[in-house]
Amino acid sequence: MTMTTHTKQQRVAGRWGVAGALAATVALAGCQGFFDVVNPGPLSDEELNVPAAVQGVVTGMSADFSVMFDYIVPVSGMASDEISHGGSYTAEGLWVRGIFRAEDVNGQWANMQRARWVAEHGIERMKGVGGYAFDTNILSARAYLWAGLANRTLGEIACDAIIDGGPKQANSVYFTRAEAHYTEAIRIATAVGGTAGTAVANAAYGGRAAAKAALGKWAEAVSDAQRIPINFVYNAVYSTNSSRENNQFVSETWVRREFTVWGTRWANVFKDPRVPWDTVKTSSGAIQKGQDGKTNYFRQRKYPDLGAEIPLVKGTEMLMIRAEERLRAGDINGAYGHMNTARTFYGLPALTPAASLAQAWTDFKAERGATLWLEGRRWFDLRRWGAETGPMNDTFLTGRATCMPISQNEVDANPNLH
Amino acid sequence: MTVSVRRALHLARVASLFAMASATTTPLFAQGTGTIKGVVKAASTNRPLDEAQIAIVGSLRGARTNAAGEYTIGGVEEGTVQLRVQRLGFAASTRTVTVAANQTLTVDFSLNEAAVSLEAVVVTGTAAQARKKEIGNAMAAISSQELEVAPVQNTQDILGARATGVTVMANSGQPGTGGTIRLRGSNSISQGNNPIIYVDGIRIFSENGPVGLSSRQNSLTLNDVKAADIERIEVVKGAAATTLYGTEASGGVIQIFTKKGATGRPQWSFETSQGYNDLKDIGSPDDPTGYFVKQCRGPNLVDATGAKFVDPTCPASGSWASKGQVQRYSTAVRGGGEALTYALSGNFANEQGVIKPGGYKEGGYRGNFVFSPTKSLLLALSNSYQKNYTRWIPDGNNASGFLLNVGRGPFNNFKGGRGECANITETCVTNAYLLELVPERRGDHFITGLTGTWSPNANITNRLAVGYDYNSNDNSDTYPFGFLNIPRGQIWKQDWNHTKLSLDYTGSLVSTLPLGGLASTFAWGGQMFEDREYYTRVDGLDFAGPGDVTLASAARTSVLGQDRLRVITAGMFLQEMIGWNDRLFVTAGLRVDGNSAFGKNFGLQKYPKISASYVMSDHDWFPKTFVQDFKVRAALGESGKAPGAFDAVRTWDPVAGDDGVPGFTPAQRGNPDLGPERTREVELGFDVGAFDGRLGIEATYFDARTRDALIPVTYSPSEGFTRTQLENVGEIGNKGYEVSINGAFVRNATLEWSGRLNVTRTRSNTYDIGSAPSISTGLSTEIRKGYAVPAYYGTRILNPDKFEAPQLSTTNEFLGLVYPTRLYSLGTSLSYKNLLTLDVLGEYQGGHSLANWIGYQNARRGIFPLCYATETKLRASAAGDAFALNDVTALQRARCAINRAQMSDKYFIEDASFFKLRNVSVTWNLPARWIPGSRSASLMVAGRNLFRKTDYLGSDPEVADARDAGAAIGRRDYYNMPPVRTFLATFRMGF
Repeated sequence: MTMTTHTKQQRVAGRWGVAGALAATVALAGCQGFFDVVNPGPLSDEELNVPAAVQGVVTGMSADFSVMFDYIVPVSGMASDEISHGGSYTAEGLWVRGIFRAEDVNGQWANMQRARWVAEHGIERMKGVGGYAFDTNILSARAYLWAGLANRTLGEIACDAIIDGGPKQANSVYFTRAEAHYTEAIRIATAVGGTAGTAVANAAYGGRAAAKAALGKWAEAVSDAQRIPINFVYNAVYSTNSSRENNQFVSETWVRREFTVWGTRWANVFKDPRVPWDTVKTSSGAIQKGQDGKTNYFRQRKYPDLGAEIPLVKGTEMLMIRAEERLRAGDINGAYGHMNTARTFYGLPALTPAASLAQAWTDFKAERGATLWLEGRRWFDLRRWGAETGPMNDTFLTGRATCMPISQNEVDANPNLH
Repeated sequence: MTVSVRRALHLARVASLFAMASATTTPLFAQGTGTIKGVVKAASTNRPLDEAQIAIVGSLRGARTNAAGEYTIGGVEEGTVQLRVQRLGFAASTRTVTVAANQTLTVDFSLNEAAVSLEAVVVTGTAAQARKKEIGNAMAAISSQELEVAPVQNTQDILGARATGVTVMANSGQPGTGGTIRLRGSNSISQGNNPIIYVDGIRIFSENGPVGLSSRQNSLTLNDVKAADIERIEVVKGAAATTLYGTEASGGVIQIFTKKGATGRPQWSFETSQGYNDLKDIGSPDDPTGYFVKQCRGPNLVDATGAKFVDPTCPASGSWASKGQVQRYSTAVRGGGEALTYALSGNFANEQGVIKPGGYKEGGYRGNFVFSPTKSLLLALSNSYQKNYTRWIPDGNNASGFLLNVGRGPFNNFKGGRGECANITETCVTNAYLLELVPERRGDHFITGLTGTWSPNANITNRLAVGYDYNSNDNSDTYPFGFLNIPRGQIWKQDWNHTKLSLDYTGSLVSTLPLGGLASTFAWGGQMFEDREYYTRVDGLDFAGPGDVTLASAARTSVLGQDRLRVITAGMFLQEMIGWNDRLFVTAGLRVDGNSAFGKNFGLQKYPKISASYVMSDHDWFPKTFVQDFKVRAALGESGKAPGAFDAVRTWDPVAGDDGVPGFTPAQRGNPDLGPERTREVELGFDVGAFDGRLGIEATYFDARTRDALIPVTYSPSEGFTRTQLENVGEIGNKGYEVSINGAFVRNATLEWSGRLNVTRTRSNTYDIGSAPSISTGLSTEIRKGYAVPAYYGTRILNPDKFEAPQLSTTNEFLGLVYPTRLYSLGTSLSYKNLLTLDVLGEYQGGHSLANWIGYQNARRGIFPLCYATETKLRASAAGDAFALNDVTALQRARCAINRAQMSDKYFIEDASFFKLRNVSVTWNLPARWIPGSRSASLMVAGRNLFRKTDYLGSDPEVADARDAGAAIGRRDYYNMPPVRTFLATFRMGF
């Protein structure tokens, strides 16, 4: 640094420098718009509050449900002996042994809750969209249907209910909410009518039947169930259109070999169209091993491609509800009647009604299990049967987790749980 | 006269001026002026010094020495001027000379080596040029001399072990891989800790580029600046020093200065390196197979039960690893007239990895021009372009990864092959087929900067720089048609480019104050940066047949994502430095910043700084018998890190559902109050130069605290948004000390022997993370209050070394730190008559751990060779042998458990401390007469990573899977190839 005395020129230049700096400060402080940058990609929340966005909002509900459900299927399946684990994932190795830790279920819990929140929050948004005829648009009925199905999934999988960061409640809260949503879906879909209205209404009736059964309202469940044609199916949609739309369960059983039918009770079930699986041989002729390199890989064939859809409500499921209602009433023949109707639908020979209620329950559990195989439902079946006494009691889950705990992230982040 | 005609005439005048300047050495402003020329040499050895900077104090006039140590400054106004010459590693020298009109004055300099030079001029973090004695913070500088004796693989290697507080981790041994650089540890949990990088005053992109899907690694833009072009590197490490850089500077600043032209006739230089890469260390020395990479055939290919497996596709050598040839070439020419100097260089390199066909090619050029159209104006134009191609091998956490498959022995994913396994009864693996996967990266990096410096008089300087940095990566991962595990093939494409446009103005005014002995340097300035990033990911599946493919060859394609981001940061600063009798300096400054990513409710950010430097040795009373230079310093300052482009607003992502119908899903919860995190650092230290420049000590204590730390907060998932939301809720800190000791033990015309020791100790702590008990940072790492940032947690074995059953903690406990807390480097250089020079540099990094997932995943499968003996004993014990486990520790029993369900990856979080012999080189300066026409020539034989000492059992303690880590700061070794050993012979020639 060289020091000299001030000259006039320096003082002028110095003043200009300071003035320039101050001017720049003022300009920066006063022109906040300078930093206003519009980036493409994500949409702001306000942009969804227009009628043209409603279709996307409802599609989003369906999409988020599908993203959630294709991994609930193997999770529930491993917990309930529908499928086993032959891969390298750590948490799955615990789940297949019936061990569910809060820290391992953050992803599944979050996806289930997002599917519920997106649907319920979307319904409230749609009600406030100016120019959108909420009560007469099939999109509103579909939104309620997704809200009902998301609540049903939570009710069947989760141990406890948490709504929007609220306190812990009994998991029956999910079924209660589901029933209300289905009822609204039925109301609007019926008003809309036509093919689309009928399909949504049937799905909502079917969903409500299951929700009512879960709540113990069997007579009402049957009332809804008997409305559904035997060939009716309402699916969670998957597609090869984009990777997010892929059926991830297929990716884990066809692209990878993470899950295997080997070692489950269903590995002893052959030539049943409801329980399709096969074996894969290596080039040397040996049975292909799973991703862990040691477990036999028996490949599920129910969902053979990345766009395979997963049933959510089926006419044959309704027959199982009706059969179970009959068994609970002690009507063995009535129950077998419904079961055999379903078997005939699948091209299977009829079963001879059992002589005892105990055997009838055993047969029924196998029939319901096969009918709903790999549809994410059996864990809850085993859970509710395990809670019963008498011939319907089931012991498979004894010593194993009966449901998914509240995730560690929810426990940590929800002040109502502290 | 029309405007267009006037403009044409003006352009013609400018063009003629430029032509005249570049075509002749005649001064542009020759009336009443003279010329100064001379030679700069080292005092002890009398060898000429290139890259020495000679400046006429108080003006923009100056020159640089060429390779012969010569310099020329023309157009010097007649009269008395002060000449100052400086070069890293030498004491600056100032001499007053009188120039006569139309005369040439010869002024030679003989510079003394100096471990500490307080007169040296630095620029990084100082607003205007400042002498080292004036600044209150530590600054590391690395000279080209150090680079010449270092057989570095890439530029990041230059930084490692050569400056205190700098951690460089290689991440992978694959050529072309970028490493991780940390300056004084991690000051941010979520916003990255990469230092920002300037090249010749132009800021370039310094964050992480896209990570290859199959290579699991990325590149580092720093490595595109080639070592042969670098004159020196300045590193400022903490917020106290980087305040004037504002938002984004809390990770520190690295500034690279490339070589400029020197006045005189063109001087050419040529350099070539030939050698090879070699795989020496992978895993533990107790496993001779090196995870079956070094041995892929023979009796050692067995699992824990002794069952054999074979790989008929193993190369004939019996090892997957082979020597990978390394070729590097560079050439440069420097010269110029008094008004225009130039430095042009070109480079080409072709480097094979140790696993074929992995390799790396690059080529590029640099052109630096400095133009002085008037004595008060200096224009500098710097351009560089580097093109590179990386052919990775698939690696890391990847089902087709090389080490994952080879290392897992019989449990790999490539079995059966194409008939090779017929009639083989053992488990038959065919790993050669995974190498048919082609992960590639094509990179282009262009940097241009125009800097104008106008100094109307000796005390006022204005500098305006316009810069543009263009980075492009074209990544693809191609599974060709017929690939063993994906027969119809697949292609992943990543097209990414990032541009950074910068405008940077700084002004300074030097003046005396009307008070005794006081002087002022006032600086002001402003910067604007516009970042744009375009990133598209597309996946294509199912090719119709073999051949080179494009996305259009795929029967099905899907767009995995596209980002188009724009972020603007702008700020300005004021700084005042008051000097007292040229020995006490107090500096105060303020930086004000805005950023487009700040929340709507968030205004401009202000970052203050204050520092002081006191050169006590400049007092007459200071005893200078032993210590000639002694400076104490203190600095306090702040800098920050901005959140990401979308973090402040509530957003929804467009997605598809219902088979291709557009829809929306929750993206970001949003926070309108979001602002940058602010790191405040206090730094205290002293610099000592003793024994006539033979000993230099620089010691610094630092304590950095990041407040309003941007922490990814998990909200209740039941509220719909599943992603974390950044909130300004945390407080983390980093403190420690750095000591650098340079000593010249012997210094005479025959022998020079010097040594250097760098010691860095850091201690990280978390003071607050909001209401959450911990924050996951991925890969078994968390942030917890009271612990370092970040650390590994999990079930701990309480009795690891006892010969008994493992006792496990019932809660998740602290298991180890992710980043080193102790960095030691020791180097020495021995030179005989300036003919032969031996240079050795070793580095120790310690105090940290690494998650060894190779060990864990292999042990789970019974294919971890280090567990074989233990497993045998465990089986014997299970069979009833009561004494089988007498010499088996609890840690061994847990890691090698026969019941795999009892295993945990947490038992494999291992001490990752290591020592590596970074480089050993011998340089022979050949007599110029041996090569007719040459000016100088040298031959260097060197080795890198020649020796490794570590207890870590995974691939290597430096590696990490970059794709695993993502943007987080966790690290994990998941079958990543280790850094390699390199031998190089380098020939340099000047003519």
